[in-house]
Amino acid sequence: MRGQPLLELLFVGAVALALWFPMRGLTRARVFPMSSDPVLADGAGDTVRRPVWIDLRFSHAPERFEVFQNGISLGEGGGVRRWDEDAEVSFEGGVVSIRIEGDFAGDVDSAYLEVSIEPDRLPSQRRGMWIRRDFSHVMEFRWTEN
Amino acid sequence: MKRFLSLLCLVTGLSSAVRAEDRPMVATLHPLLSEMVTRLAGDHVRVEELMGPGGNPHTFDPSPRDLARIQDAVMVVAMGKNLETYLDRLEASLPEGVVMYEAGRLVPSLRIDVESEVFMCCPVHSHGAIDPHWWHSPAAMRTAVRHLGRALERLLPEHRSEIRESARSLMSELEDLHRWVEDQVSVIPRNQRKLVTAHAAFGYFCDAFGFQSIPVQGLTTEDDPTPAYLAETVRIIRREKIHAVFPEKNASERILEMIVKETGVELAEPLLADNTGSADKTYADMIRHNVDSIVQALTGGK
Ligand SMILES: [Zn+2]
Repeated sequence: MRGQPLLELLFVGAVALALWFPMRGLTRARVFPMSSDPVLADGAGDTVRRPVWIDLRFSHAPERFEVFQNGISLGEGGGVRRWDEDAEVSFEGGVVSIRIEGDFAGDVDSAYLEVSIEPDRLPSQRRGMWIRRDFSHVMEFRWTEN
Repeated sequence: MKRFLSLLCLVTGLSSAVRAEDRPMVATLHPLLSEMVTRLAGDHVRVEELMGPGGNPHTFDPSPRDLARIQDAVMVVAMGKNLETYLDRLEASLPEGVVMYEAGRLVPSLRIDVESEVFMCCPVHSHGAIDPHWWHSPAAMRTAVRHLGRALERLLPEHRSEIRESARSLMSELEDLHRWVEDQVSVIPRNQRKLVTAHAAFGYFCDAFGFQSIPVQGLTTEDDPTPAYLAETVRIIRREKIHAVFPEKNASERILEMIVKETGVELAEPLLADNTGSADKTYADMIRHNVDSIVQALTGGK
């Protein structure tokens, strides 16, 4: 690099030109959710169905559990600390609401449950909560344009 | 007896060779995809890699010989998000019914801000376009692996449970890798997470790990940034007190060197942007190499 007057000249030219060119700032990448996305294009109250991946992690294996949306079972299991399933769920105005119910056996009184939902083309969302024996919880996941 | 044994060897050898040829061929357009397909489907498929670990996916164009090589493929796996600008042409050259699979298709996309005048990657991937470099986020790779696994299950229904199991273990490795990156970069203060790179390939990495991406040079030597942008880069490096800039292997370092001279920033270990660079390097090696280089440079090796 040293001793290359052409490059030096180019650089001085660059700085000079910068005085006249309006700058637009740095490159920013952003996650889209683009407005063309079917989940996010919906008005409030509109419903679309789309594929998601549901991933459950329990700190202690429940004896049984089942995942529902609007009273329809999306899958069930038991005796495992990790469970996942492909499902199709309804998005209402960008919101997915699911219910998880189940029970623990033996001496487990409470456990931690982490639920991830990953729709196609959208970032996954994760929620965690403490659950007790004979549990039934509703969880809401919301995707919005940012 | 000896002769019988060698005949037996020959016959069993031949039959296993025939079995190998019986396996469906999956053509891959990137070495990282060869790795993922092999991890998922193992010996149940024959992987034919069109572009090797030294290839540049922005300029790669399959030759007629490459096309002939994959005429028997039942599935072609591309990175997607318009990285392979030749994909339509490739599909047209293959027999009908070949599954064209884009691994990045269902991964959330990053888009370069349409306001930005300065995104440089290659002429196809200009500002406003979808950033094709999704693989730099291990979480995105996990999503891609899950979907790729499902696609391979559809291709090989008889090996469904085995592929599902491989996908689970690969996905959990990728989760661990993602957490490892989070852990490694946690020593870099948020306000110093600025990645000045030769090529705008790290948008997904930056998005995932809280960095700001500052690309300063086009991919090819002809694709130089405007003088105005260069001057702005120098101004920003000074203003933001940036410690190090990251050149890319294969990319011209001319502009970066010029910036180093002007600002006194350190030239860090080159990052691997578009390929692994060598056949014995895995996806995890690539991510680890980049993260080590970033952490080393932005913490001054402390
Ligand atoms: Zn690239």
